[in-house]
Amino acid sequence: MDLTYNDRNIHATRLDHDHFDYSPFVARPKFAWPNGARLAVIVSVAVEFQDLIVPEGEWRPPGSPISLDVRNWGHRDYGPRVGAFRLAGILEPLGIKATVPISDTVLIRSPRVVDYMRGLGWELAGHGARANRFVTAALEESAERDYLAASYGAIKAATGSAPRGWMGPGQSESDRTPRIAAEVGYDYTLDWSNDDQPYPMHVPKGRMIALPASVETSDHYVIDQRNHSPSEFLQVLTDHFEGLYAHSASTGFAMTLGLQSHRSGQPFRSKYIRSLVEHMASKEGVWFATGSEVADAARKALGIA
Amino acid sequence: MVSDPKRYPYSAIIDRPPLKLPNDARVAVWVAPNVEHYEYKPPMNPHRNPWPLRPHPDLPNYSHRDYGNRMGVWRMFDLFDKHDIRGTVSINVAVWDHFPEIAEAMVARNWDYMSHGIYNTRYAYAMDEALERAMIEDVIATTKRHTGKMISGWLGPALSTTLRTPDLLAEYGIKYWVDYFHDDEPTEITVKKGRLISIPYSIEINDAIACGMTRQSAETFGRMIKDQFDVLYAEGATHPKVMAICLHPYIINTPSREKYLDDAFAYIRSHDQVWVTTGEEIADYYYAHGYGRRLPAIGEAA
Repeated sequence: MDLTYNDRNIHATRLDHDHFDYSPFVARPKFAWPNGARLAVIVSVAVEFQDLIVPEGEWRPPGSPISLDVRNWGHRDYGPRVGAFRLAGILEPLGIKATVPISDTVLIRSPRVVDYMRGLGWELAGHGARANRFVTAALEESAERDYLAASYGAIKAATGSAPRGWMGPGQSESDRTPRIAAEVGYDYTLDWSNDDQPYPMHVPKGRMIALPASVETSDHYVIDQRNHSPSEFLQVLTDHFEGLYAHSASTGFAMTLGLQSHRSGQPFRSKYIRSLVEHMASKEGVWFATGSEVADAARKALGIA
Repeated sequence: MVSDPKRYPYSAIIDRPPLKLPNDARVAVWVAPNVEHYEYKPPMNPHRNPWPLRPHPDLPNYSHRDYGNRMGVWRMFDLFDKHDIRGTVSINVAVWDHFPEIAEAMVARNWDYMSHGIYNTRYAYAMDEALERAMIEDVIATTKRHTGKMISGWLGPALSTTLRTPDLLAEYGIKYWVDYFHDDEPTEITVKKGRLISIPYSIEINDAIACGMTRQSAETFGRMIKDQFDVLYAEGATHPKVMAICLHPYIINTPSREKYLDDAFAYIRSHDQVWVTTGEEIADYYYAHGYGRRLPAIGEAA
């Protein structure tokens, strides 16, 4: 390593990349949601499918089984078969419409759950062909574009409407993903965990806005990675909600409750999910909205196209 | 093969005369928020991959940490102001170059500055002497430029150091070093030239370890801070101690965790005979009242 190892890497955005500008919270104008709401909540219910055998040479996350992965394949399939319906049973009575990052294969393999969710007014979001096929720098640009476009086209074919949102499988991206997602036609992303308010991204074609989707409010991070029990998950999410709700007295905020249908849809966890959303729904000024609704309202509040 | 850096002789805590603190304080508490810059696509280092879990960028881990400089630090300032605490910032100095308003907010509060290197994704492992000297000089110059002050202490970037680090720190006039976590009292460090002490920092009362690595809840972390304080406060009736609270705004100043820190700060502030202070003040007091008088004599550097 030579002396350039200590050099700074400061772009015009004031970050070390060009995807969006540095925006210190303390310098922002007041953020207003429609109808006097103070806290927007997106309930994201991922409905996924994964490969039984990962193709040779394809990148896989550390710790993945090398050969036939029946146990994780089956576990994941609980989502479209059972978990999604259990979560629907909790959300529907409260009038909450979920946003659904959906693996392409689920659209083809399980149209029944797709039609059911659409019937509830839930919004589908692009999420890649399979949950194990991450978007990474190892993909060629054309392959990445094909991958994002395939999800876009699959949702459009299955539902008649093109998706607006993208959430990478495993929250994965390459450094090209914001640009490619906007080119393909997506206009909001749930991949960024760095803010409690939406912010626009810089893309040369189309448009892209990042909606708050913290790892701190996702069951993948809190349960899978931090090994919290369901009651601890309820405590953490309730604390996050209450903390953000208190801050929202002075300006609008948003959060995404990130649920995997095969994890949070399990019976023993679902009762805590029910307690959580019922508690949130009981508070004045909480606006349960889909990703598109939040994206549209955020653009209006920020005065951007 | 080096099994012992030989930077201090062994000393049993029960053999030492009581640590002297001002105003009959039983505990000196210093609070060190780590204000860091992790890079989206950092340069590779032959000794450590900054993001080992996937090809770069690692979006969940990068964006999780980026929350600190967008949202977390501003809540940090509010909370520290509320409890009248001057922070000793463990600062990646690149934060100030990227975001000068963060420096301005610290200067307005007259905080203390302890270096945490330049970026938290660039490590000291296997730096040759020229590169390590260049890093230390850069940190000193950058701190001077943004704050007008000399940095007072040092914690390696992402806890990385070399075997020569303490010699260089002493040579450059840095007062204290905190990478050892080996005691509840300051220790005199053997260096080739000048003087250097360590002061207690913590790898336990540290949210990145407690919440991030060992996955305790925030409620548990808050209780840990209060329990740590209780034991040191009791011991401090006869043998005063130093207590560090080591934080990261992207972790503790999030909506789900901040109230437990608020509660722990209030608890500490509700006690008498507590010196809530900075790393530099602890170091200065020790140099004036304890250095050379209470521990076995330090030898020459090997």
